[in-house]
Amino acid sequence: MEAIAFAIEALVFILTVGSGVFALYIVVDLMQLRKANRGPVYKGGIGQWSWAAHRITGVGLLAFLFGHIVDTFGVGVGPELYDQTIHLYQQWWFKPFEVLLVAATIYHAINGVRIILFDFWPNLALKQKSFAYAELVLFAIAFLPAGFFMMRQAVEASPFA
Amino acid sequence: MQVTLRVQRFNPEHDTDPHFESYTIDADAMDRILDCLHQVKWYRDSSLALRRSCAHGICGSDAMVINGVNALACKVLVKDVKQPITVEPIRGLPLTKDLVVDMDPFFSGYLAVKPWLIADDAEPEPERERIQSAAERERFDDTTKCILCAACTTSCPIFWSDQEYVGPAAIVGAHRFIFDSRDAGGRERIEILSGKNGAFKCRTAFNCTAACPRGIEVTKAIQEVKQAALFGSF
Repeated sequence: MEAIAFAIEALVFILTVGSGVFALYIVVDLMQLRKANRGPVYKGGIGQWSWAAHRITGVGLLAFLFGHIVDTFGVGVGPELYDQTIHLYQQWWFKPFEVLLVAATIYHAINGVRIILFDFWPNLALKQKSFAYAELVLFAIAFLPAGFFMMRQAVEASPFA
Repeated sequence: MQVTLRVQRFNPEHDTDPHFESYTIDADAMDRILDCLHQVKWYRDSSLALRRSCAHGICGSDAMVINGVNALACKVLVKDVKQPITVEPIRGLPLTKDLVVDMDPFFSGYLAVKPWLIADDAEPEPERERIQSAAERERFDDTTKCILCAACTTSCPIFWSDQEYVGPAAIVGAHRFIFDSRDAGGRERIEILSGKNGAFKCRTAFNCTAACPRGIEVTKAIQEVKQAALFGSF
């Protein structure tokens, strides 16, 4: 049972982190120009970086969602398997990844709303930089407290505490 | 003053990959990057290939990546950029030689949206010019400024990865006619731009708006076209 739980969590972990890193690679590669004439990264504005972050968090979240379906599926087998699988999330060294997941979710949500606003009110595009910075402030307000408490928990549970 | 230029060079006859070459030249702070490139071409290495025509920001021939961003070489002054000044060809289009790229994919995207006046066939041919109010003209004023330099399209991350996308310049060209009260081809163009290579490929990265040497609000125009496609509001 333990081995299956471990295998499931390893799958979720590798799938999520792997896809995130892969998306990061592709987006950076694209901004440097794939194929023959590779150059330095294009120095676009905050809009370009928001786009890149939206892509990377999007791919990571989608991969996590698939993994999450797999680990929740364990409930069908029995509560023991599910509990053991979820046990991974309680590990202190896993917390930073959970913090990343929270950050990606909050960012992707707020940025998505920003993009939708431009879709419905094209005139807002004239103020796109203000919107992008306001979004970063909103992100900080929503994420930093959550990140702080989660990380504090992780540090307390770690052998370094 | 001494100016150092790092220019991307590529000769298809004997290079497999492009490389950078540095040139230190004498230039004035008020010189344009185009003047610096002329210095190199005229006095240092005549084999340097670049496109330029009017040299005054009207023809749109000399769009290039200057210190990492798209601009017209004839509209950027030496005093406004950090040294060494890195000059690369615009991205996403096949490289022909040095700073010259093959503009065909760019123009085929532009042609796809039928950027010309389409008259209403049902109406009899007018005996005098088609009258338009100042407000009706104002509606598409911004997008008439386009000079087809490709600075917007080649700054677009979506276009870098997929040259089938018609690109910002084509959508700007379509916007100019879709919102023109004299034009009857709006529905036709909207249909083309609703397709998979049309306006909805835009992910609002805003690189195009920042790159436009004419100050066109490119992303806003694209958003208006998307709205027109969704709600038929044009």
